[in-house]
Amino acid sequence: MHTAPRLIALAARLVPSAARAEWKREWTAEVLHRRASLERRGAFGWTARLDLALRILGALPDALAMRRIATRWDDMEAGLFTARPVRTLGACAVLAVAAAVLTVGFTAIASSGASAPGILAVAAVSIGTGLLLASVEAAAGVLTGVPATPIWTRPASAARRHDRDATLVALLGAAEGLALTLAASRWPPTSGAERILSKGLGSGAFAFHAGVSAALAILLALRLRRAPAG
Amino acid sequence: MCARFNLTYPTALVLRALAEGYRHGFDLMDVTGLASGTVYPLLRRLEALGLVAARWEAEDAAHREGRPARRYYQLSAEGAAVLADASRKFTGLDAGLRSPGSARPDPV
Repeated sequence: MHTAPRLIALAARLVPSAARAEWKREWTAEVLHRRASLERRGAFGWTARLDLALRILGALPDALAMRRIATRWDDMEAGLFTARPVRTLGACAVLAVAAAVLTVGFTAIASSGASAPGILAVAAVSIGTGLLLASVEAAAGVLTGVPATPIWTRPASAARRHDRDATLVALLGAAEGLALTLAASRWPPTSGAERILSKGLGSGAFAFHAGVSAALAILLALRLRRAPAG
Repeated sequence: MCARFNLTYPTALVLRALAEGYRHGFDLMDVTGLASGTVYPLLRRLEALGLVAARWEAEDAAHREGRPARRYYQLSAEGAAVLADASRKFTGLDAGLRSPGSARPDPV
């Protein structure tokens, strides 16, 4: 049973810092209560010890659940936009600009005929699109707001986390746009298949980024409509 | 409420056990037969959805018994409504609860 506090402390590292102390307190209290109860009844034999050890192992999935819930976007309720309208709008604007830079850059390069994107640029598009998808998900979280009833986090700290995420999303979008445009201008295609693939992906990227920008604009408009009065 | 999340049998079982007055995590494991790696994440999710409320028991009462205060869980009004839905969806929910063994329901 000396390993019990160590296991709980190890699992606690996964719990968001704001909730960690209470989480450890809860698990420790349950383990101590169970052990004391079994010892009082003279029932703390090897079977009971094994059962308790198996229960303590459940601290790990519980810690992961705590982390998942603390960063879960789809359970969040409205609040951040009305609390941080300028910063939220700014994050959306920078993301849209980054997307626009990317699409304009790709379109210009693809239509110039001089140095169309090559296979490495195609790979960069794939990676960059994945980055943009992650950015959009983070931005959507920024747009939908903080939890109305945050679990073991104060509203102030949750709002600061979202401000940080909004800034990160904006920077990520801008960096991705710049990187992909630079990559597209570097390597000419070496085969007909590469030209077809790169032009296809270029068109697809244009449509995707235009769609993302439109979706963000619609989401923002919906948030404005649903913002509570006062 | 059911549309907001997938109401599974383990979730319904935990809600039923809470309604029966079992309020602590390890006790819920005893009566539902679910592992701690299932019960606790369920409780976190139910609390996040507002179906369950968690509180700490009184420190002085716990210290009188020579142990630290434990955290206990209670069904909210919304949780009771979800339990009613669950009882319709999963017949024989009561039969899913085990005989408590060392666990006993706390006075509600």
